Amino acid sequence: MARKPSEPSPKSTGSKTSDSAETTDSTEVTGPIAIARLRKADGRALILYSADGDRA
Amino acid sequence: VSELRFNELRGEQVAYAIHRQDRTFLPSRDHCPLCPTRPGGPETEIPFPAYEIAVFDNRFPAFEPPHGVAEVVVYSDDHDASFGTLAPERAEALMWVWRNRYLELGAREDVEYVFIFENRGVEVGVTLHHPHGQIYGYPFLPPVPALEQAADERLGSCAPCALLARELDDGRRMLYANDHALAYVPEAARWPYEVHVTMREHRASLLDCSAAELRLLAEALQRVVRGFDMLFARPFPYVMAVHQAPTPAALAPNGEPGGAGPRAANTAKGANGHLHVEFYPPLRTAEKLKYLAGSEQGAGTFISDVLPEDSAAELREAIARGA
Repeated sequence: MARKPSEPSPKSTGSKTSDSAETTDSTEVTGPIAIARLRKADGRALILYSADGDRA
Repeated sequence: VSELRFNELRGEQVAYAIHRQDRTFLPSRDHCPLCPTRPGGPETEIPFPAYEIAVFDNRFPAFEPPHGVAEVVVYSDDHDASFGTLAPERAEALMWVWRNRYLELGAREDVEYVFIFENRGVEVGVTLHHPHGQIYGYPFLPPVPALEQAADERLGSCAPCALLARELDDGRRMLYANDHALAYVPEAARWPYEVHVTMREHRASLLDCSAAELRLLAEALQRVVRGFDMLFARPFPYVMAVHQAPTPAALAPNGEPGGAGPRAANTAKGANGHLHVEFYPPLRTAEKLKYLAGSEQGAGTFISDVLPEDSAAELREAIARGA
């Protein structure tokens, strides 16, 4: 499951197409997936998971 | 803001979330709020042109802090995907997402039970077709997991362990098995095509599962869903319910499994529940729905038109065709 080029990662928000979410400084990994935590403009949490973690 | 009221006659909580009356209802695919935000297109819940799996706070929550939580789990940025058609690696990743949410939401003081589920199809009330599930963090122990705990007490040990042993011994309702997860139609299924997927070994929650167990749980779930879709050659509606241990008993105060304290681990066999996934499909034929009517609603007794042994035979064949 390779990450698509424009997707955000824990290191970068990628090609964000609006200003309605900000990434927090996060390098979390759980099993085979990486976690990017963001906050939407209205305050709600948004978490993006991608297959970047180490294979358990 | 949601409000809880206690229904004395049923002995259960009822949640009133009147803001949900105005939630998005079957939008056109051009206005799907779960699709990625395309350059120049309308902004969606996920402001990126692509993503793999996304979780966000429900805009129309049934429960919200400080009295629980409601989240949406989007399986893919492909509007036309489904749980059954996800790449195996994506389905496996979803198990890790569920595990992560169970751990994180279960550590909250205002959450007593983490419930992961998917409603698929308009027949069960879906309002968005984009492939997704939901997670409710209940501020109380809901009736169904409480009944499962009562079953543990009645049987004197873990009920899912005992029922799985019975099904394996009988064999007539078994559908699918791999090294770590098994699928069967329960002996006393309430729905014509009800299926339970149960971990072979006693595992209180996703936190107790190895990487291999999570991978094979995903495989078993996908085999069942693809079999459902093969059964009547149509997308098969269902409610998928992930049952795990109540989190106060499964998590330590710092959110990690094990340890001591008010959320200390109690993983003795039968004490906490047993990770299993229940499917409740509303169809009884390709075109006919099983309705919850007088006996089911007024007396609490399901009347089924199909024997579990017969529906299991149909589903076994459909799962083989969907492999």
